[in-house]
Amino acid sequence: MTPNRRAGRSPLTHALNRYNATERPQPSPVVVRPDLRYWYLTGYLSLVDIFAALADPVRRALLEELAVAPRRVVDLAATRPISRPAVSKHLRLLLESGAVTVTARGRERIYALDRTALAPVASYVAALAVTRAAPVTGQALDALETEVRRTGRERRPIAQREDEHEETA
Amino acid sequence: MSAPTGRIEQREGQHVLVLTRQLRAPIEDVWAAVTEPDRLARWIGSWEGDPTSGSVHFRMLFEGDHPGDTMTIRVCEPPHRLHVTSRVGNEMWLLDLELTYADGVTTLTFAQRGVTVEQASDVGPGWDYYLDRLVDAETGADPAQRDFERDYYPATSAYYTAQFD
Repeated sequence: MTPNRRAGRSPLTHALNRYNATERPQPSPVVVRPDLRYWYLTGYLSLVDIFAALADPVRRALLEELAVAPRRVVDLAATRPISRPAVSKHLRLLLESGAVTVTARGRERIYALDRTALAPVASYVAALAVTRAAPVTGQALDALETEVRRTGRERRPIAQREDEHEETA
Repeated sequence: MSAPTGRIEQREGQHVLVLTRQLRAPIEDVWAAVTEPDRLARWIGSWEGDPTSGSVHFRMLFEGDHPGDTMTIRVCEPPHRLHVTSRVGNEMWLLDLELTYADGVTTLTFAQRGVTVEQASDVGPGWDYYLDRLVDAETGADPAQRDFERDYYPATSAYYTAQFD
């Protein structure tokens, strides 16, 4: 019996398959589809890879400012040498990545940093920081192999039968 | 539904998924079950390559068409500690296995560091599934009795995501 017949229902890479199946504008520059404009309001669907969102220095600067406090577009545009439409364009991409959220207050839209969207980046960088190969020497493996053989011969796990050896799936 | 067993711990600002299993078996046996290709094939998958290079290619049994990924060996101290980094698609997973032995029982502690809530809803049930298969394989039960879609996912996803509140 195969528990997982379809790709995408696999125990560990399901999320990954879903992620890869997500349609998103590729490559950058990002084009925002009009029919997607409400998606980001749910804060649920990410159309833009968070790593791509962070790749641009202007967007990082916007995030740094939003980390201090929520802002309006006009506030964000006031302190930088780019046009307000340009800021809006970057904000749209950040919205689609999930890195920021927007709420309407009257006619104004308030942008805020959503730190949970950054978790995959933190996780990735943390993994990268500690991942280096262990000094596994040939001798250590030989010793291990000997140990495993000895164990296999002398001390089978409980209730483990010889006829199970063939089973692989 | 199969009762979920994992817990989400907070360590250094990161969420760590931790699962444990106990086997009435010598620690060397459990070590072999998590490192030897023949034994791994019974419950999770197989690896090929040269571990002395620092990494192997690991492929799991039930991940659809997924071709497998590079598994880097960060710590290998038989028969107590095996820490690996699994490159899964565009993610890197820090997986830490620790074995301890007392009074005839080997305790296997599995941890995945830096999980996000989205990951946990999938990998929580996923690791429960694979570790239950490990126990089956080591106790003479049939791992094939485990049904991921019927008993694990999505049935136990909420159990894991709820721990992030």
